[in-house]
Amino acid sequence: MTRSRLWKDFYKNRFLLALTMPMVFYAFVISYLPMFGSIVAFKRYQYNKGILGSDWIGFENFRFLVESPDLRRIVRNTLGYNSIFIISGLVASVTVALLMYELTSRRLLKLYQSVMFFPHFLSWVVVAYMAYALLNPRSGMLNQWLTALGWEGPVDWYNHAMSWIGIIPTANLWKQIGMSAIIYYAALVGIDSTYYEAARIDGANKLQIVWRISVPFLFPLMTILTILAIGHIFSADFGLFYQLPMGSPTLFSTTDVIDTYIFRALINLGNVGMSSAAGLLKSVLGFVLVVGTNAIVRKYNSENSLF
Amino acid sequence: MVGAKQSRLAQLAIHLFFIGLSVVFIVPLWLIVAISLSDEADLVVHGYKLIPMTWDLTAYLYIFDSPMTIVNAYKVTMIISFVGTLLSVLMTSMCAYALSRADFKYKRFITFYLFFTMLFSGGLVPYYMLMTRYLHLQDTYAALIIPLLGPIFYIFLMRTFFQQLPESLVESAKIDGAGELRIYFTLIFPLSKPVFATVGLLQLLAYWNSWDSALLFINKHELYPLQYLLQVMIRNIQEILANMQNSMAITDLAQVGKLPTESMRMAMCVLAIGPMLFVFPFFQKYFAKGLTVGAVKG
Amino acid sequence: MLHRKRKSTAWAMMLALALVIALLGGCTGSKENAGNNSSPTTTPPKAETTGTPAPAVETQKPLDPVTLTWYFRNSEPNNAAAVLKKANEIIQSAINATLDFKFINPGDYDTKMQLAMSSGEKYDIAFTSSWANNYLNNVSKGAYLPLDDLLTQYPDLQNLFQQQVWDAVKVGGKIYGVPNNQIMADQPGLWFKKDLVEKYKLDVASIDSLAKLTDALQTVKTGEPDMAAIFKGIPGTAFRDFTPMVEDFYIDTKDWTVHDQQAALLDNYKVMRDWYQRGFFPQDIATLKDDLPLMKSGKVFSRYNRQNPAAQKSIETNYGFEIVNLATGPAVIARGAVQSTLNAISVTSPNPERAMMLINLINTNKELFNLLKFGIEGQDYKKLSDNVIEPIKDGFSLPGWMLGNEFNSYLLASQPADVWEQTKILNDTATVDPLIGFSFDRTNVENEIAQLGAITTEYVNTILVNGLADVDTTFQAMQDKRKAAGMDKVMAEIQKQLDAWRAAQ
Repeated sequence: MTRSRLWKDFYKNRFLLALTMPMVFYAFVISYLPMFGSIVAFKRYQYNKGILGSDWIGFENFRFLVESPDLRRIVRNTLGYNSIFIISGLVASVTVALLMYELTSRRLLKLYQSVMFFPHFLSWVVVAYMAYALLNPRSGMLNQWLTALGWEGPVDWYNHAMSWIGIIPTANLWKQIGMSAIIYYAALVGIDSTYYEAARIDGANKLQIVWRISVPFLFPLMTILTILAIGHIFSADFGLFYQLPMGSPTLFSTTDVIDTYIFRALINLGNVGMSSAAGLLKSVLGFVLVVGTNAIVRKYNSENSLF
Repeated sequence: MVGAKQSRLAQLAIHLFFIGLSVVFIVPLWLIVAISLSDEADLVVHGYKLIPMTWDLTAYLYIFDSPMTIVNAYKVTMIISFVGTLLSVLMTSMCAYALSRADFKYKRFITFYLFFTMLFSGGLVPYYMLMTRYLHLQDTYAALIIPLLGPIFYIFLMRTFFQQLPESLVESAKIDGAGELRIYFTLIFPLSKPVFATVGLLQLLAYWNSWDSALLFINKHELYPLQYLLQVMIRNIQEILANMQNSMAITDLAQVGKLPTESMRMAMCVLAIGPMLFVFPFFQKYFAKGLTVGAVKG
Repeated sequence: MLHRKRKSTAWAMMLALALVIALLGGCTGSKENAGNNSSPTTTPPKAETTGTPAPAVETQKPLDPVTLTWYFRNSEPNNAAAVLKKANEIIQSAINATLDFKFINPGDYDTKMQLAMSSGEKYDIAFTSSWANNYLNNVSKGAYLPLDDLLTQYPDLQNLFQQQVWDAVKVGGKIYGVPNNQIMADQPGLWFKKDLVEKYKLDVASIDSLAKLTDALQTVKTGEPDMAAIFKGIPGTAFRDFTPMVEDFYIDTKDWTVHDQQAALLDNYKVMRDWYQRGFFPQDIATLKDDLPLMKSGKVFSRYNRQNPAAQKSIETNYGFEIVNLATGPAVIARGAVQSTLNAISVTSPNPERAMMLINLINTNKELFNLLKFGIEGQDYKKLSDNVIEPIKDGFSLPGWMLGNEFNSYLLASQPADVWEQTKILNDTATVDPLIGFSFDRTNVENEIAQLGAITTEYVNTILVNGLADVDTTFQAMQDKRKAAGMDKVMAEIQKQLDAWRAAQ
């Protein structure tokens, strides 16, 4: 009975299963096979012994991260900034996408989209240089404008830690908003316009239409993207936090995150086991959060959840 | 009448908003182009300026100096970009579609299976060993294409889009006796143009800008993709400059003085972003409203 | 009922997957071990060897042809193929081997070497040092062969360096790398722009303390307000006797006890803070990335610089102004300097004896060395006189200090004629670090060192050395963190190993 049931399901779903097989096989080879190598996090890795031959040392490799005197700071900064990024990104991208949708001039729309899109492909090194041109105390443009407006004296932004709580999310938003807005825009474009016509006939005004139709339609996408972002909440965009502050240590209280700490600690040691341990820890924590968030979302609306 | 005036006002307001927003994006873009066309000495002494004090093509000339290498790099990049994008969009969309169907039995398991790989990874060393020692892919086009073939993020993105297509479409097609593949190609695909365009564009750009795989797997100069070649150029310059304090190094001073570091960095950006601005309009025409008009009824 | 079945299907599939992974993992492991396993203590011929290694002294016995792979930290130069062909003629006639250089772009070198070593790749020779492809790290991870036995066969090579230099590359009592002969002595110092020295009539030679240096800098600063009196803060001690260091701690040679170097530098940092407040440093010192523009614009009066015979000429030609040098400490031969350029033989080498022959050849054969450094005469360089050459633009060139014995090198017009003689004198007369043979094994305190490293990077390199913040509060904060990170444990470990090493002497 059970056997034939299994086969029956398999047979019924065979085409759909076939559609997924290339991806499944790909993920198996590229991601799952190497995954076995993460046991190096629990070993003292020696080149001449290889991954399997090296000695087990339990959780030793995790100590440098977990016992760090800076642990509270880097965790606070990582989680704090990522939360701000998720929220601000969501609000800003959806808003911009909705506004894009309202534009009637297609040519100008294409222009705006292209212009907003390019920062995503700049490396943070370049962005850091441009920010430096803006913010440096000697010849930075921002300081010039501020003095022109009557502000007292040039501000040494690269030594003033608190201001980076604003600078970093702004920089991140600048870089990502183009791409995020386009994704949401593509979703909006897929809404059957008969819904809008029906709403207009019923006498709804613009704001109501947006609130009652467009936003709910985007809800599944917003949920998925947020859940995925939460999975990565313990990882920071290394380029952003390392390059943008130009490595200035006086800013560490607000710019040091888990990944920059790991980089600084391990750069002279080249210890494969330790870096693997750090990565594993972040993955496990992120995983737990995602499963939790997903379970909550599933309670409310099982279609919007990830799995 | 009132409605028309209101909407014109609203349009104006929205335009103003976007114009203001665009300034924040156009100015840096302009700055990048301007710096790439500036004389290096001016940059050193006077810093970044929106209009170059001296127009100068040295950075570009330096990059294109050995035409064979860069022309070749363009060729490599174009091949991997087009082939890679085509294959990956095909593979990920097929999978995403299957996962979007509520009646697919293995949906949850496969979603979890794929999602897991987004968070967990074995690290660089096992991955490198797999690609070079077991699959023997070093110095091949495959090594440049394969790593970017299956971004899980896009699968979930597309799955969400597919989920929002009306179920009645598929049902009625099935009643008509269409097989799964037919449904996919003749029905789902045309209705999903915006999302295919989005993912296709993003993948194309990802391939265009990729250089990690080249760093790991490519040693032959003929197989250097564009971005990696540029990275190598810039880092070689940095190496020469770093060695200047090491007084035992041989330096040809006339050359060193002219090394266009800043302007070259920006020229690299222009070469990276430039093609995108040409490719973008091509994809934008698929962001058309009204694709699904009447789909429910029809 | 259905629900449970669906779940069990899922579990069954996951279990199956796990089994497959484990199985394949098993295969991975064994293949890897077979490739990597080699006893690091002796070098008898292995099963995979293609050539028969020559026995001890008789080089007359016919050798089988082999290829030697050498990882080199430099991008492929122009005309490489032609030069290598010529070089291989020499190499083949001498030791019947073919040299295959693998040129790796400097920016990628560390990553590529780490991957090569991790994946058990078979290669023969690689460039390693304290600052790239870290020698000590690699040795501690079992990447290189000990060379003591092989070296005894090559007295010419061995005699290139005094015993203490060989001690400097010993780890756990064994030698794992061959230094490339160049300047070994490390002498801290400063250079000053000559025109300003003359303008303000500064008696540079008489500066023998930080206080006098401050006065000199102040003189220049007052007279030239737009100029940076000194490029960056002085790291480490100045105008003091040499004290040996292990990690970030110094050893008091009177009683061989371990002390915190940072605590000893506190006074130094206070001076640096004073300098910062007086405006001696360039304005954006905290974030300065490229120093070349600033240097070439002539806006810097002085800079900390390692002293060596060729430095003066080189800096003058590179930056375009004349300088006056001042040493701020004795010339010392210490581990760091010796380890700044080494060639090591991999444990995975199929022909370690032949690799050693090649290293010996490059270090003793003047013709081969200059061929690989400067290329082919006429094509890549012009001979100006017997020993002086001028490189041709866009010709072949490799850094000689990565190849082998620099003392055999031709000279450039910009170098003083007796540069190598002077270097040799400096090397021979320099003080030798008494701890030169002591190698600290980090294994027991790696976590603490990682944390301490992160802390010193944060506080010392930029903030304290350049006096960017109030010294007392910053210093105290740093010390508190270092204590919390296990500084005392590291010091105790160093003391323990040091005592053991001394007892064994």
